[in-house]
This record gives sequence, structure tokens and C-alpha cells, in this order.
Amino acid sequence: MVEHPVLSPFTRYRWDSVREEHQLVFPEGLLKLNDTGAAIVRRCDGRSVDSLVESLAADYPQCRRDEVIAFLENMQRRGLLRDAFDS
Amino acid sequence: MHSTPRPYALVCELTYRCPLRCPYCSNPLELARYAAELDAATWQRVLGEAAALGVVQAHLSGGEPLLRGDLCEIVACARSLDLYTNLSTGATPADKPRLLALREAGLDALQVSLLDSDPTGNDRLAGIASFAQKENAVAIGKSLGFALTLNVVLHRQNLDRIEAIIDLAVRWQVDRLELAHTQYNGWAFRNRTALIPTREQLVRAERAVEQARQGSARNIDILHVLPDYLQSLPKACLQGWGRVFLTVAPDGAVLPCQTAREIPGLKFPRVQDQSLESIWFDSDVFNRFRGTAWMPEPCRSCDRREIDYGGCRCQAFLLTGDAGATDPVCQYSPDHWLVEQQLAAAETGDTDFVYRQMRS
Repeated sequence: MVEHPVLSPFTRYRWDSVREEHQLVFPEGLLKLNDTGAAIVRRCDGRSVDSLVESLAADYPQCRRDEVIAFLENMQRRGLLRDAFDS
Repeated sequence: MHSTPRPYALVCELTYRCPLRCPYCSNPLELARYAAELDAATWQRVLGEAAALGVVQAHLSGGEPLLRGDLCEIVACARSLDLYTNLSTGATPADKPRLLALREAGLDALQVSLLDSDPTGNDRLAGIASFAQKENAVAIGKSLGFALTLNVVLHRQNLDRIEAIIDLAVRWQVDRLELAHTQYNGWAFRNRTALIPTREQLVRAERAVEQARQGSARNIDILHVLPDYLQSLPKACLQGWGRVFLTVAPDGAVLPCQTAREIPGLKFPRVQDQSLESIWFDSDVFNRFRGTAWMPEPCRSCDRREIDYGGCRCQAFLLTGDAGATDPVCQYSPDHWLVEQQLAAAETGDTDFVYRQMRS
């Protein structure tokens, strides 16, 4: 599991104003995100997972730590996340 | 309100011109008929209309898109519209200044085609010396930080080198490897007896890909597209006609798929005459095979009708003469014997190609 998640260099977050949905876009693919998913992704800026979860709890109190970790692990499996300190 | 889904991906075929002469090119056989090309200003308008329609990804393709001197203007426009841009190139015109300019214009991803792991084999298939330029373009593309995909079209004459092809992708440190068997359309349909692999070759290749995924190539995202004629169920071609993709051809014709020009009797509206939105939602050609209402049996009552959407319309036409037939690749198609006949012909067929050429 990554400790300081950032989006992989080929993955871009965007707001689709036509469909009114959050998206992650990468070569030949696209992942739709719900509001919570987008809030997690926006916090993938190299901070630690602990600090990410803490910051998220301020805006989304219903968000559980194990759910956030499962989401991040899934993103990492799909090659969309990496650790900020990995070369 | 439209119940029709909006498209996600626009394929921009910027030109049909290409220095390569690949005998499986998906461009039309009558290339010279479509020599006219849209200018950059028109492409910029088209990209704006596409973004408003819901397009997220712009695939800049050809022919060889690097032959267009105004490519950077087109890329910059796509980037300003927040489109994810991918350039598919044969790489012969690629050099560092050119790729750097494209990176600075906002190009996200680079896809380089390779015809064989063996330089001589690559150059023979391409009809032109090009291996060294491809290797060079991959190295430059990596150093500039592009998402880099290596695309290798597979067929009977290179499939036995699949391990070497994967090794090369590992050595070149690409991010993605597309191992795509030839689609038997366009020039590939003409050359199919020389291209269709044997079952033994395919079984061996599938095993090699699986081994590489677990081992040497575990850091590379490998897409292995299997050859249609050796399957028993068809692919969800385009993920359904008029559902996800649209293509604008070099001359401005809007096509549901890049090879739809092979189907006679279809009329393709042009971006010069109509908006992309009205073409997508209202044109006859996009509605012709959209959804499931057009389907004949056995598709109409099949559980898979919204999984494979009846397969490939171009393939149905090329094999049966009827673009509205069930894709003959399907084991339930009454025309499936046509595919088996082709497989038998390929077993004994010769391996000479007709190379792509502009005159016809």
C-alpha cells in the first residue's frame, strides 16, 4: 500500500460538465468517481494516508478509514496511483 | 432529452497519408478517393463540438498524423478543452524537437506502432526502413514523460516471436503494450490468408503473454486482443455502434467506426455541413445499428445482445455481403461456416502480401 499517494503521471482528474460527473482519465480508459471518491483523489497530493483520512473526515464524517484504504488500494492496482517518494 | 448515450472518444484521422505500407492497414482500400484534408481551423471547431457533446478522449490518428505541420495547433486546442489526447504514430517523422513541441502543447499520451521485434522483419512488413526511428521515438517519448504505449499488430508472420516482442517492450520500458491481432478489415481483409494465425500458434502465444504478465513484464499493462476468426463469440466492436466512439475522417466524413466506409450504401454526413451533435444523435448512419432493435436472429433473442452488440458490422458485411447480419465469428451465426472456410484456406494459403498503396 502506498504511504503518500499521488496520481500516476498519466492520470488526470477532470470534472465532466456535460455529464456532471467526476472522472479520472488515463490512456484508453476512464473511471467515474462519486463525490467521496473525488474528494479522496483531490487529496492525493503527496500527504500521508493518515493526514488524508483526517482531512477527509472533516468534510465527510461518514467516511470510514478502511473504506478509504480499500479505495486507494483499488486505484493503485489499476495503476492510477503511486507513492510520491517512489522514483 | 435524448436516451442515446453521449460519446466518450473521438478518433481524429488527420490524414490518410503515411510513409508506411503495412499490409493490414485499416484505412480504406480506395485511399486516393479521400485525398482532401480538413484544415486546422476546422479541426479546432470539431474538437469544440466534440467536447460539448461529451467527448473526453481525443485520439489523433491517421495515416501518419506527424505528417501534418499544424499538429501542435490541433493538440493545443484539444488540451484547452480539457480533452485527454493520445497520438498514434508510426514514428518515422518523429524527432526530439517535434515531440517536445507536442508535449508542450499538452499531448498526454504517445502510441508508437511496431511491426516486429526483429528489425528486418519490421522493415519488410512496413515496406520501408523504420525500426530505428521507432526505437528512437520510444526513448525520446519516455524521456519527455509521455504515457507510452507500444502497439504491435500480431499475425501469422510475427506471432512466433511474441516472447521477443514482449522482451523488447520491457527493455524499452514502455507503460503499456497492446498486442492486437489483425482485424480483418481494409487491407487486412485482402491479405487475410497471409495473416490468420494457426490455432497452435495462438495457444502458444496466449501462454507466453500469461507468463510475461506474471514475470518479466509484470510492470507493463498488457492488452492482448485475440484474432476474431479464431473465437467462437464476437467482440463488442466499438462497444456498440454509435455508443462510445465516433471517427472524423481526413476529408470531414463522420463515421461510427474507422472502417465503416467499407459498407456500401451508408451515407456519411460531413463536419463541413452539419454539427457533430446532430450527426451523433439524428443521422441515419449512426442510428442504423444503434441499440438492439436492428438485430436479426439469433442476436435479437440472445442473452449476449447487450454484451457484444452483435459483433462487428464491417466484418458481417465483408463475409456475408449483409452489414445487418450477425457477425459470422459467432458460433450461433448461420454464416459461421464462412469463418471456418477462411481458417482452412489460411492453413494452406501462401504468405505473400499486397502492400497498402495510395493509388487503386
